[in-house]
Amino acid sequence: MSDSYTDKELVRRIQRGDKKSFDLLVLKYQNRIIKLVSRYVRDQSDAQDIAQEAFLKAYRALPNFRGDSAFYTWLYRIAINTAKNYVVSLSRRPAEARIENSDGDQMLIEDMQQDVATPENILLADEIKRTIVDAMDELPEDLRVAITLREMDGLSYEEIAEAMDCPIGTVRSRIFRAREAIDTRLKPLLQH
Amino acid sequence: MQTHKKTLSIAMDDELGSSTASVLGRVANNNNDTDTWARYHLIGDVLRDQLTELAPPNFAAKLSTQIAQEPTILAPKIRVRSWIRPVAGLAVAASVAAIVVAGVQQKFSLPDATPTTVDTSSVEFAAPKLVAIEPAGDKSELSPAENLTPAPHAPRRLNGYLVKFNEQRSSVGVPGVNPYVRIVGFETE
Repeated sequence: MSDSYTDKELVRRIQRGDKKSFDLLVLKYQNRIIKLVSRYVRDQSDAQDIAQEAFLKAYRALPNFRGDSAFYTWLYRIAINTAKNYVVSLSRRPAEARIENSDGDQMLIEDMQQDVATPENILLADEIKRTIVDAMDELPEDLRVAITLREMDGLSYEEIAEAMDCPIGTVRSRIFRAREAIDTRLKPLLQH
Repeated sequence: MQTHKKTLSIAMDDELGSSTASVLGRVANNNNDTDTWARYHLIGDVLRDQLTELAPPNFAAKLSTQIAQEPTILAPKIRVRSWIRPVAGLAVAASVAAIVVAGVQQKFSLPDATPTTVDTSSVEFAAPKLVAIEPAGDKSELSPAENLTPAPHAPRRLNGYLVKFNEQRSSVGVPGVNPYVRIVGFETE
């Protein structure tokens, strides 16, 4: 993970007392952190709680963050440790909280209650993915190539300009137009 | 509005340079911009296949409420750099060791062990010459300084002393004379 200048700037703002800037970091990394935590915790609701706790721990630890590593690498470690601690605490829960399901597997009563919330979110995530993929397919080729090189291959604007043989200004416009075209399709899905 | 969003798009790609700070400040304090920021990042997550489960819509809002209750961070804490502590420890240890060595040397050094400068300009060095060895017994021609023959009772006393010393040391379980040093004595007739 490259050391993002934007992240550094946001961290600097938070360290100067601007709490709102932390919202931008949360919005940027929330899905990645939830995905990461989900590798340790089966239940989606638990994963969200752990991700929330990880962000909170990160905020509290930000005064000590010196920027030796990229912010995301640092956040990643906090999230992993929080998830591991949760798994350890789960294994220490009293046996009375566990029941056997029809397959004879032990599971927590709490897990069963929280699993109910999962399908709706999974459906929405699937719909979002499908919408974005469809929108990508409908993009003019120059816009699709530009945003693919940026988002999937992680190329800088300069590298994209070289690859597409066009000025950097054109790259800026193409990536923005691609995002806007996808966003137009995405926005209605997220309005509740 | 479009220019606004285009600037945001460039900023989130780390391509805006020095204007990034002001754009981020504006985005953080404008709900429409914050939503756009979230959706643009969501698009990136999907394209990089980093979306398995979607964060609930109130995820960031709930967190923001919790953060609002936290004490405000005003400045990063100044911490001692990680390499300073071991280096400082090493310096203290080296200083102590140097003081101990100096102290021990001072305590055990003999007064005449200190090297001194001797003026040899006035000393005349005689050329080496072969000397005929006189037969034993005729010591009358030896100078007092050369006459190193011990006093008649001295060897016996020395041997007796060494034997007693060894016995006394071994009785308390401490080796007397080092075992690799032979006790040499001689008897004179």
